[in-house]
Amino acid sequence: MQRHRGFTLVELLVVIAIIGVLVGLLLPAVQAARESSRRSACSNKLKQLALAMHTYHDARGAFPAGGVTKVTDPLTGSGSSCLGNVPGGAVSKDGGPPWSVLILPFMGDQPRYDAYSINAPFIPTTWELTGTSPNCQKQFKPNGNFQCPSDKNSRADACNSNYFACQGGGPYSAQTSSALGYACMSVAPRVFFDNGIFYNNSKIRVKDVLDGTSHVALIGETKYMPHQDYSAATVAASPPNGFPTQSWDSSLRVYTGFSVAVGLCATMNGINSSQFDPAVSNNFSGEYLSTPQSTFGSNHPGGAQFATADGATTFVSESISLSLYRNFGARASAKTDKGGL
Amino acid sequence: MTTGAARERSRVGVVVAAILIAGGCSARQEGPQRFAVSGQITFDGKPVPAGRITLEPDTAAGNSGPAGYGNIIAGRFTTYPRMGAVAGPHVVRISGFDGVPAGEMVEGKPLFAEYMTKVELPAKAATVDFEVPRIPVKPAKGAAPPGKPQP
Repeated sequence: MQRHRGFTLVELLVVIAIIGVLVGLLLPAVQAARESSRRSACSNKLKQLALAMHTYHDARGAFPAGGVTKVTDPLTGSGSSCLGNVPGGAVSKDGGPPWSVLILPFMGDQPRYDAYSINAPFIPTTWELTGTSPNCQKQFKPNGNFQCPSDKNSRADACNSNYFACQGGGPYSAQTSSALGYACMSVAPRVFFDNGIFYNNSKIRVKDVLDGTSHVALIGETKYMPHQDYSAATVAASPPNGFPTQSWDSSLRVYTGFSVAVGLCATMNGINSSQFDPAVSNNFSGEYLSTPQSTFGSNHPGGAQFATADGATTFVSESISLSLYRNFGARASAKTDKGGL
Repeated sequence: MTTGAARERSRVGVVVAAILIAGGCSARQEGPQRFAVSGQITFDGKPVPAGRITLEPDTAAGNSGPAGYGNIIAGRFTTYPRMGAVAGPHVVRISGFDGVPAGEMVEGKPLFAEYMTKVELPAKAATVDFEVPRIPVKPAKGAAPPGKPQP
């Protein structure tokens, strides 16, 4: 019997199969390591924002307002001016600078801050781009300091934000009522809380955070900021009635029946509990009005990162008890059990 | 002889591969176990066109854990993957819209104020139907419970 030297087909197949299995085991590990480093970078940016908040507090005596508007009440409560009734009877869609602009000088970005006309109106979405404020042309420009690398939508030419300041926490019914029991609107549910650190014209000091600064959310991660394709070129070309894209420097939106707490979010629904994907084309669903302001979320597996009011960053699991999570956003929930948060 | 040894080796290879794949695929389950919940939502006898449902553990009844979430589409809801509800007593919150887009009201006008009810969920995937009454029956404040005379 003649023996051929070399490998049989079966032997080759077995070797290839084993190599395939080993690569299959290795690939997820490599991907996990890459995501881990992205998460680390993401956490760094969050920490920088929290530090800027504290530097602002040192300089001005209080945390910045969640957003400055002409409306004097916190946009919650029945009969509130969140329906757009600006004192004096006028109706306004635009406001002053949001928290993200107010802290710019405290994160080493004075030139960007100076480029705005800080006393002129800021606009909330691309729907208001037709406005006459000089800031219309300055807003909707990318700022990498507000982008988490784990979010595939946070491209270098995109003006989105992955960090929303915390406006409070609790169930929907803890906020406002209108005729149908929906906050701030006669028509569709939007989310406005004022029991956190950031809301309309807020001036919360560290001493107001009665639950303890290490137990209250300051800023959290989001992956829900509404946008469709918000590259700078698209935003410039976008007709005002296209998808209402928001930017990291968007103001609060105060408008009859259609107010939105842009740039703020409450610990109302669990982390990552919405399937809303703001980047999906024409995903102009009803969720775009409530999800970004009610649901924190990230693309890190299993939860999202938060900065607490003491400036620390922490990872919160999406399987956290809902009642604990809701207390996490409130600055004075008077609950003794913070569950380690 | 050669083919027999090769077959033996390939068999070993298959077993090793199966073990490795099985080991690699077992996902780590974090936190309390969550179960899918689905069902129908009707308002005034008709399916609710659009809306949302939240199944929150009833802390007043001693339950705790993450909540279950789902969208209502054409009268039906199913909790999102990995976003099911834990077992035990729950507070259910339902919002519903008429599904006729009008400007910024993409899902239409709300049909009713946020409806709250309670339900006991089993420790397995469950189907629960909810009927939202046309007018939520609320006892007036200060009204005497039936059967008890006013002092």
